[in-house]
Amino acid sequence: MKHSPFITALKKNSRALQHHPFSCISSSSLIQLASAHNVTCFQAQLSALQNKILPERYLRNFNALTLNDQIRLAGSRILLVGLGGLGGYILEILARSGVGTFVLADGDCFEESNLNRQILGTVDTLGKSKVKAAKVRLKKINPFCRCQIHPYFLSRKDLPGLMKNIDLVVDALGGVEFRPVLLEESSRAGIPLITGFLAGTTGLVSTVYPGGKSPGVFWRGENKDGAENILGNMAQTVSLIASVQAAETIKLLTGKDSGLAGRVFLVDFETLTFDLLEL
Amino acid sequence: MRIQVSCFATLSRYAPTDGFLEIKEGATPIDVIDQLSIPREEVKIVFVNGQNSGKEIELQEDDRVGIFPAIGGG
Repeated sequence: MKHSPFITALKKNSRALQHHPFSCISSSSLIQLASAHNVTCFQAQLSALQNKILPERYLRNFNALTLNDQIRLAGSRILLVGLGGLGGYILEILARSGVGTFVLADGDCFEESNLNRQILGTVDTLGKSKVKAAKVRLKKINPFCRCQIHPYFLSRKDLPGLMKNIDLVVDALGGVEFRPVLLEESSRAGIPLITGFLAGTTGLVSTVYPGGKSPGVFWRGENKDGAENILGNMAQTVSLIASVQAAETIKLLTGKDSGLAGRVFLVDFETLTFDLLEL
Repeated sequence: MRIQVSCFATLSRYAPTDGFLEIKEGATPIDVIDQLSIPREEVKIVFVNGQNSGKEIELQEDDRVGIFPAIGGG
Protein backbone atom coordinates (compact mmCIF):
# COMPACT_ATOMS: atom_id res chain seq x y z
CA MET A 1 0.00 0.00 0.00
CA LYS A 2 1.31 3.44 -0.89
CA HIS A 3 1.36 5.86 2.04
CA SER A 4 0.57 9.54 1.87
CA PRO A 5 3.64 11.83 1.98
CA PHE A 6 2.69 12.72 5.57
CA ILE A 7 2.64 9.09 6.73
CA THR A 8 5.91 8.41 4.90
CA ALA A 9 7.47 11.41 6.70
CA LEU A 10 6.04 10.20 10.03
CA LYS A 11 7.63 6.79 9.56
CA LYS A 12 10.93 8.33 8.55
CA ASN A 13 11.00 10.52 11.66
CA SER A 14 9.99 7.83 14.13
CA ARG A 15 12.35 5.49 15.91
CA ALA A 16 11.90 1.82 16.72
CA LEU A 17 11.80 0.74 20.34
CA GLN A 18 13.06 -2.58 21.65
CA HIS A 19 10.38 -4.74 23.27
CA HIS A 20 7.57 -2.41 22.23
CA PRO A 21 4.90 -3.14 19.60
CA PHE A 22 5.24 0.38 18.19
CA SER A 23 7.83 2.99 17.29
CA CYS A 24 7.81 6.47 18.76
CA ILE A 25 8.14 10.08 17.71
CA SER A 26 8.93 13.23 19.68
CA SER A 27 6.22 15.83 20.10
CA SER A 28 8.38 18.49 18.46
CA SER A 29 8.94 16.35 15.33
CA LEU A 30 5.25 15.57 15.15
CA ILE A 31 4.31 19.26 15.40
CA GLN A 32 6.89 20.19 12.71
CA LEU A 33 5.66 17.49 10.34
CA ALA A 34 2.03 18.48 10.93
CA SER A 35 2.85 22.07 10.08
CA ALA A 36 4.92 21.12 7.00
CA HIS A 37 2.09 18.93 5.65
CA ASN A 38 -0.72 21.29 6.59
CA VAL A 39 -2.30 18.82 9.00
CA THR A 40 -3.69 19.79 12.43
CA CYS A 41 -1.76 18.59 15.49
CA PHE A 42 -4.85 16.66 16.54
CA GLN A 43 -5.07 14.84 13.20
CA ALA A 44 -1.31 14.30 13.08
CA GLN A 45 -1.42 12.51 16.42
CA LEU A 46 -4.32 10.29 15.34
CA SER A 47 -2.54 9.37 12.09
CA ALA A 48 0.66 8.59 13.96
CA LEU A 49 -1.13 6.33 16.45
CA GLN A 50 -3.05 4.57 13.69
CA ASN A 51 0.29 3.85 12.01
CA LYS A 52 1.72 2.37 15.22
CA ILE A 53 3.78 5.43 16.05
CA LEU A 54 3.36 6.57 19.63
CA PRO A 55 4.09 10.18 20.53
CA GLU A 56 6.90 9.87 23.07
CA ARG A 57 4.89 11.84 25.62
CA TYR A 58 2.72 8.75 26.19
CA LEU A 59 5.60 6.26 26.57
CA ARG A 60 5.14 5.93 30.33
CA ASN A 61 1.43 5.20 29.92
CA PHE A 62 2.55 1.89 28.42
CA ASN A 63 1.56 -0.79 29.12
CA ALA A 64 -1.09 0.28 31.60
CA LEU A 65 -2.48 1.76 28.37
CA THR A 66 -1.90 -0.14 25.13
CA LEU A 67 -1.48 1.44 21.70
CA ASN A 68 -5.13 0.63 21.02
CA ASP A 69 -6.13 2.34 24.26
CA GLN A 70 -4.19 5.46 23.20
CA ILE A 71 -5.97 5.42 19.82
CA ARG A 72 -9.33 5.24 21.60
CA LEU A 73 -8.42 8.06 23.99
CA ALA A 74 -7.14 10.28 21.16
CA GLY A 75 -10.41 9.80 19.32
CA SER A 76 -12.59 10.46 22.39
CA ARG A 77 -14.67 13.54 23.14
CA ILE A 78 -15.66 14.45 26.66
CA LEU A 79 -17.85 17.19 28.09
CA LEU A 80 -16.28 18.48 31.32
CA VAL A 81 -18.62 20.71 33.29
CA GLY A 82 -16.87 22.80 35.94
CA LEU A 83 -13.21 23.91 35.74
CA GLY A 84 -12.75 24.71 39.42
CA GLY A 85 -11.35 22.28 41.99
CA LEU A 86 -12.27 18.94 40.45
CA GLY A 87 -12.30 20.07 36.82
CA GLY A 88 -8.77 21.53 36.87
CA TYR A 89 -7.20 18.29 38.07
CA ILE A 90 -9.39 16.13 35.83
CA LEU A 91 -8.36 18.14 32.78
CA GLU A 92 -4.69 17.91 33.80
CA ILE A 93 -4.81 14.11 34.12
CA LEU A 94 -6.91 13.42 31.03
CA ALA A 95 -4.91 15.77 28.79
CA ARG A 96 -1.62 14.23 29.89
CA SER A 97 -3.08 10.74 29.42
CA GLY A 98 -4.08 11.53 25.84
CA VAL A 99 -7.83 12.21 25.67
CA GLY A 100 -8.26 13.97 22.32
CA THR A 101 -11.17 16.39 22.52
CA PHE A 102 -12.53 18.43 25.40
CA VAL A 103 -15.71 20.46 25.54
CA LEU A 104 -15.27 22.67 28.62
CA ALA A 105 -17.94 24.72 30.36
CA ASP A 106 -17.78 27.07 33.34
CA GLY A 107 -19.07 30.64 33.71
CA ASP A 108 -16.95 31.40 36.75
CA CYS A 109 -13.79 33.49 37.18
CA PHE A 110 -11.02 32.74 39.68
CA GLU A 111 -11.17 34.39 43.07
CA GLU A 112 -8.71 34.26 45.93
CA SER A 113 -10.69 31.72 47.96
CA ASN A 114 -10.16 29.23 45.10
CA LEU A 115 -6.38 29.22 45.54
CA ASN A 116 -6.38 26.64 48.34
CA ARG A 117 -7.31 23.86 45.89
CA GLN A 118 -7.88 24.84 42.25
CA ILE A 119 -4.85 23.96 40.15
CA LEU A 120 -5.78 26.39 37.36
CA GLY A 121 -6.14 29.21 39.88
CA THR A 122 -2.87 31.14 40.30
CA VAL A 123 -1.93 34.71 41.15
CA ASP A 124 -1.86 35.28 37.37
CA THR A 125 -5.36 33.98 36.69
CA LEU A 126 -7.20 35.74 39.56
CA GLY A 127 -10.27 37.49 38.14
CA LYS A 128 -9.95 35.58 34.85
CA SER A 129 -12.31 33.05 33.27
CA LYS A 130 -11.76 29.48 34.47
CA VAL A 131 -12.36 27.89 31.05
CA LYS A 132 -10.06 30.37 29.34
CA ALA A 133 -7.33 29.51 31.88
CA ALA A 134 -8.09 25.84 31.17
CA LYS A 135 -7.58 26.36 27.43
CA VAL A 136 -4.21 28.06 28.01
CA ARG A 137 -3.10 25.24 30.31
CA LEU A 138 -4.28 22.57 27.89
CA LYS A 139 -2.24 24.01 25.04
CA LYS A 140 0.85 24.11 27.28
CA ILE A 141 0.60 20.52 28.46
CA ASN A 142 -0.70 18.81 25.35
CA PRO A 143 -0.90 20.66 22.01
CA PHE A 144 -2.38 17.54 20.38
CA CYS A 145 -5.69 18.01 22.24
CA ARG A 146 -8.60 19.93 20.79
CA CYS A 147 -10.88 22.00 22.96
CA GLN A 148 -14.03 24.02 22.69
CA ILE A 149 -14.83 26.38 25.55
CA HIS A 150 -18.14 27.70 26.87
CA PRO A 151 -17.42 30.54 29.32
CA TYR A 152 -20.90 30.81 30.82
CA PHE A 153 -23.02 29.00 33.39
CA LEU A 154 -24.99 26.28 31.61
CA SER A 155 -28.74 25.96 31.79
CA ARG A 156 -30.78 22.88 30.92
CA LYS A 157 -31.49 24.14 27.40
CA ASP A 158 -27.76 24.35 26.59
CA LEU A 159 -27.10 20.70 27.35
CA PRO A 160 -28.60 18.75 24.41
CA GLY A 161 -26.51 20.80 21.96
CA LEU A 162 -23.30 20.41 23.98
CA MET A 163 -23.83 16.67 24.32
CA LYS A 164 -23.88 15.99 20.56
CA ASN A 165 -21.10 13.54 19.61
CA ILE A 166 -19.91 13.38 23.22
CA ASP A 167 -18.70 10.01 24.54
CA LEU A 168 -18.79 10.82 28.24
CA VAL A 169 -19.89 13.61 30.58
CA VAL A 170 -17.77 14.48 33.61
CA ASP A 171 -19.58 16.30 36.41
CA ALA A 172 -17.04 18.54 38.16
CA LEU A 173 -19.60 21.07 39.36
CA GLY A 174 -19.64 22.84 42.68
CA GLY A 175 -22.92 22.87 44.65
CA VAL A 176 -25.85 20.47 44.62
CA GLU A 177 -28.40 22.27 42.45
CA PHE A 178 -27.27 21.78 38.84
CA ARG A 179 -25.97 18.23 39.27
CA PRO A 180 -29.40 16.53 38.91
CA VAL A 181 -30.06 18.54 35.73
CA LEU A 182 -26.74 17.47 34.18
CA LEU A 183 -27.43 13.87 35.17
CA GLU A 184 -30.95 13.86 33.70
CA GLU A 185 -29.80 15.39 30.42
CA SER A 186 -26.84 12.99 30.11
CA SER A 187 -29.22 10.10 30.67
CA ARG A 188 -31.64 11.50 28.09
CA ALA A 189 -28.78 11.81 25.60
CA GLY A 190 -27.73 8.20 26.32
CA ILE A 191 -24.29 9.22 27.64
CA PRO A 192 -22.59 7.88 30.80
CA LEU A 193 -21.74 10.46 33.47
CA ILE A 194 -18.97 10.36 36.05
CA THR A 195 -19.68 12.52 39.07
CA GLY A 196 -17.50 13.63 41.99
CA PHE A 197 -18.62 15.61 45.03
CA LEU A 198 -17.09 16.47 48.36
CA ALA A 199 -17.17 18.46 51.57
CA GLY A 200 -14.16 19.07 53.79
CA THR A 201 -12.27 15.79 54.03
CA THR A 202 -15.11 13.58 52.73
CA GLY A 203 -15.40 12.84 49.00
CA LEU A 204 -17.42 10.57 46.73
CA VAL A 205 -17.36 9.40 43.10
CA SER A 206 -19.95 7.49 41.10
CA THR A 207 -20.57 6.49 37.49
CA VAL A 208 -24.10 6.67 36.17
CA TYR A 209 -25.10 4.89 32.96
CA PRO A 210 -28.28 6.15 31.26
CA GLY A 211 -31.21 4.98 33.38
CA GLY A 212 -28.88 3.44 35.96
CA LYS A 213 -28.72 4.00 39.71
CA SER A 214 -27.52 7.43 40.73
CA PRO A 215 -26.22 9.12 43.87
CA GLY A 216 -28.77 11.94 43.29
CA VAL A 217 -30.14 11.68 46.81
CA PHE A 218 -26.91 13.31 48.07
CA TRP A 219 -27.90 16.42 46.10
CA ARG A 220 -31.39 17.01 47.50
CA GLY A 221 -31.85 20.64 48.46
CA GLU A 222 -30.38 23.95 47.42
CA ASN A 223 -26.74 24.97 46.99
CA LYS A 224 -26.78 26.48 50.51
CA ASP A 225 -27.66 23.05 51.99
CA GLY A 226 -24.47 21.23 50.92
CA ALA A 227 -22.09 20.32 53.77
CA GLU A 228 -19.26 22.01 51.83
CA ASN A 229 -20.68 25.40 52.85
CA ILE A 230 -19.74 24.60 56.44
CA LEU A 231 -16.71 22.35 55.98
CA GLY A 232 -15.05 23.97 52.96
CA ASN A 233 -13.22 22.01 50.24
CA MET A 234 -9.76 20.69 51.03
CA ALA A 235 -7.11 20.27 48.31
CA GLN A 236 -6.30 16.67 49.26
CA THR A 237 -9.95 15.65 48.92
CA VAL A 238 -10.41 17.57 45.66
CA SER A 239 -7.30 16.10 44.01
CA LEU A 240 -8.04 12.53 45.12
CA ILE A 241 -11.67 12.64 44.02
CA ALA A 242 -10.60 14.18 40.68
CA SER A 243 -8.04 11.37 40.26
CA VAL A 244 -10.70 8.71 40.81
CA GLN A 245 -13.00 10.46 38.30
CA ALA A 246 -10.16 10.65 35.77
CA ALA A 247 -9.26 6.98 36.29
CA GLU A 248 -12.88 5.98 35.77
CA THR A 249 -13.07 8.19 32.63
CA ILE A 250 -10.01 6.48 31.14
CA LYS A 251 -11.49 3.07 31.92
CA LEU A 252 -14.76 3.81 30.19
CA LEU A 253 -13.18 5.54 27.18
CA THR A 254 -10.90 2.55 26.61
CA GLY A 255 -13.84 0.14 26.72
CA LYS A 256 -13.19 -1.36 30.13
CA ASP A 257 -15.92 -2.08 32.67
CA SER A 258 -16.80 0.62 35.15
CA GLY A 259 -16.00 -0.19 38.74
CA LEU A 260 -18.38 2.48 39.96
CA ALA A 261 -21.65 1.93 38.09
CA GLY A 262 -24.38 1.61 40.72
CA ARG A 263 -21.76 2.24 43.38
CA VAL A 264 -20.15 5.11 45.22
CA PHE A 265 -16.45 5.32 46.01
CA LEU A 266 -16.06 6.99 49.42
CA VAL A 267 -13.00 8.55 50.98
CA ASP A 268 -12.82 10.25 54.35
CA PHE A 269 -9.41 11.55 55.39
CA GLU A 270 -10.49 12.26 58.97
CA THR A 271 -11.30 8.62 59.74
CA LEU A 272 -9.08 7.19 56.93
CA THR A 273 -12.13 5.48 55.47
CA PHE A 274 -11.89 4.11 51.91
CA ASP A 275 -15.01 2.24 50.92
CA LEU A 276 -17.23 1.15 48.01
CA LEU A 277 -20.95 1.57 48.74
CA GLU A 278 -23.80 0.00 46.76
CA LEU A 279 -26.53 2.39 45.64
CA MET B 1 -27.17 -5.03 70.91
CA ARG B 2 -24.19 -3.17 69.58
CA ILE B 3 -23.70 -1.66 66.10
CA GLN B 4 -20.97 0.42 64.47
CA VAL B 5 -21.92 3.94 63.33
CA SER B 6 -20.03 6.39 61.09
CA CYS B 7 -21.39 9.88 60.55
CA PHE B 8 -19.81 11.76 57.64
CA ALA B 9 -19.08 15.41 56.79
CA THR B 10 -21.21 17.82 58.86
CA LEU B 11 -22.79 14.92 60.74
CA SER B 12 -19.46 13.72 62.17
CA ARG B 13 -20.07 15.73 65.37
CA TYR B 14 -23.01 13.43 66.17
CA ALA B 15 -20.95 10.24 65.89
CA PRO B 16 -20.61 8.11 69.04
CA THR B 17 -17.12 8.71 70.48
CA ASP B 18 -15.79 5.17 70.04
CA GLY B 19 -17.82 4.52 66.88
CA PHE B 20 -20.15 2.01 68.56
CA LEU B 21 -23.75 2.39 69.70
CA GLU B 22 -26.02 0.25 71.89
CA ILE B 23 -29.48 -0.02 70.31
CA LYS B 24 -32.71 -1.87 71.15
CA GLU B 25 -33.75 -5.04 69.32
CA GLY B 26 -35.69 -4.14 66.18
CA ALA B 27 -34.20 -0.64 65.91
CA THR B 28 -33.90 0.92 62.44
CA PRO B 29 -31.57 3.60 61.03
CA ILE B 30 -34.28 6.19 61.84
CA ASP B 31 -34.05 5.15 65.52
CA VAL B 32 -30.26 5.48 65.34
CA ILE B 33 -30.59 8.98 63.84
CA ASP B 34 -32.97 9.98 66.66
CA GLN B 35 -30.83 8.35 69.37
CA LEU B 36 -27.82 10.39 68.18
CA SER B 37 -29.97 13.58 68.11
CA ILE B 38 -29.24 14.12 64.40
CA PRO B 39 -31.93 16.37 62.85
CA ARG B 40 -33.77 13.97 60.49
CA GLU B 41 -33.95 16.52 57.67
CA GLU B 42 -30.14 16.71 57.58
CA VAL B 43 -29.79 13.02 56.71
CA LYS B 44 -29.96 12.37 52.95
CA ILE B 45 -28.84 8.75 52.73
CA VAL B 46 -27.93 5.86 55.05
CA PHE B 47 -25.86 2.79 54.14
CA VAL B 48 -26.11 -0.41 56.17
CA ASN B 49 -23.13 -2.73 55.66
CA GLY B 50 -22.26 -0.75 52.54
CA GLN B 51 -25.75 -1.11 51.02
CA ASN B 52 -28.29 1.64 50.41
CA SER B 53 -30.98 -0.25 52.32
CA GLY B 54 -33.23 2.67 53.29
CA LYS B 55 -33.84 4.10 56.74
CA GLU B 56 -36.43 1.60 57.90
CA ILE B 57 -34.62 -1.72 57.70
CA GLU B 58 -34.31 -3.66 60.98
CA LEU B 59 -30.72 -3.53 62.17
CA GLN B 60 -28.79 -6.57 63.37
CA GLU B 61 -25.95 -7.00 65.88
CA ASP B 62 -22.58 -5.74 64.49
CA ASP B 63 -24.19 -3.94 61.54
CA ARG B 64 -22.17 -1.03 60.11
CA VAL B 65 -24.26 2.10 59.57
CA GLY B 66 -23.00 5.11 57.55
CA ILE B 67 -24.98 8.35 57.69
CA PHE B 68 -24.56 11.21 55.16
CA PRO B 69 -25.83 14.78 54.73
CA ALA B 70 -26.19 16.65 51.39
CA ILE B 71 -22.77 16.95 49.74
CA GLY B 72 -22.06 18.82 46.53
CA GLY B 73 -18.71 20.59 46.73
CA GLY B 74 -16.17 20.50 43.94
